[in-house]
Amino acid sequence: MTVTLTYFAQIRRKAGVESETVTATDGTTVHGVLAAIQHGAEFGELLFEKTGALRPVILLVVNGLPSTPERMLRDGDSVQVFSPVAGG
Amino acid sequence: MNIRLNERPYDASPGATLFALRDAVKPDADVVILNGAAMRGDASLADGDEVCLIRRGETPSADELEALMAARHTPGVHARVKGAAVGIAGLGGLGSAIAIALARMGIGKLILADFDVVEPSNLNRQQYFVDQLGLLKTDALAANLRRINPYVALELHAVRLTPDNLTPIFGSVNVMVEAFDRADQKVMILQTFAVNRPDIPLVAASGLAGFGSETTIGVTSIGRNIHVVGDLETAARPGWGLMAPRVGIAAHMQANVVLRLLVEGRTT
Repeated sequence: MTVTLTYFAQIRRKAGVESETVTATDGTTVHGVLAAIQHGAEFGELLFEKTGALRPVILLVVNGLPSTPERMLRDGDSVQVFSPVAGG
Repeated sequence: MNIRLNERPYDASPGATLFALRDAVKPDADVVILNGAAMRGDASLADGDEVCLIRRGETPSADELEALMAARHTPGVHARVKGAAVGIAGLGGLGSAIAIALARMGIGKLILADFDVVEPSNLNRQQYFVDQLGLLKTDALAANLRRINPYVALELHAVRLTPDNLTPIFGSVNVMVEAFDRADQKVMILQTFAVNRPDIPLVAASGLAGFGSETTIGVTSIGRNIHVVGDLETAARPGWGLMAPRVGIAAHMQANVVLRLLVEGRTT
């Protein structure tokens, strides 16, 4: 399957791209797709804890609605990856 | 003679003077304004004049205040705003300023939620006063809003917001505002409310600390109905705190996004 990933703010800067299309096995979870992406250690540290779990401050939006890392993706899905920062 | 009196059309007698009008309509007025200028002496009135009669300390009636406000808005705006309900989660630097801006606009109803009390460190950016220290933010803000516009309906919730109570508290609003301080709470409301009520636009904030460029604060649309105000990156942290000017910019941008959603149904 092919899915489109769009990054925001510091995640975008560490990825070096605003958006990219990746290929993965049908049914791979959002977590699985992101874990397979290679954009360097700093990108990985932004997204993942040392345990490998997605950091709780990472917001995933799949096809327009907030979703979970365990969501299984399908061909053509779009995933936006955003990390709100403190302050208000 | 067609004039406007306190922002409403008024048919004045030919030859009427300013003070005669005052004596006939509002004899207890102690401030008399003609075409924007406070007048100490009498003056003849002419067709098209705008007269404002004020008694110091008197709260205008609901109708009068509405007319005064509506006169300042673009036609059609006031009716939309008056019939709307907006929810604000968090009443700190963002939430308190957003509530005040919307109250000044004549919003119909505000649903306000925050568990916290007013602390001295809040005063550098939050819309509270030194004589309100220790009060619940819901109560303090409500008092301030009533001094600005006593006719806004207020629903207050002095509670800590959780995934379980968010939707029951805010499910009736036309637009939802996220004004939390902590990043995990921002994620919580985005994951909960935006999923449970994807039909309600959510105006969030991220990246507004310090005194960096004001021009990097923008509006980013994420997902179907989420609009994020801020530069998306500048987090509040030790040595780079939240300050009134930049927080105020973000807060008023959020309020403006709310207004555009209410009036135009969109932000682009």
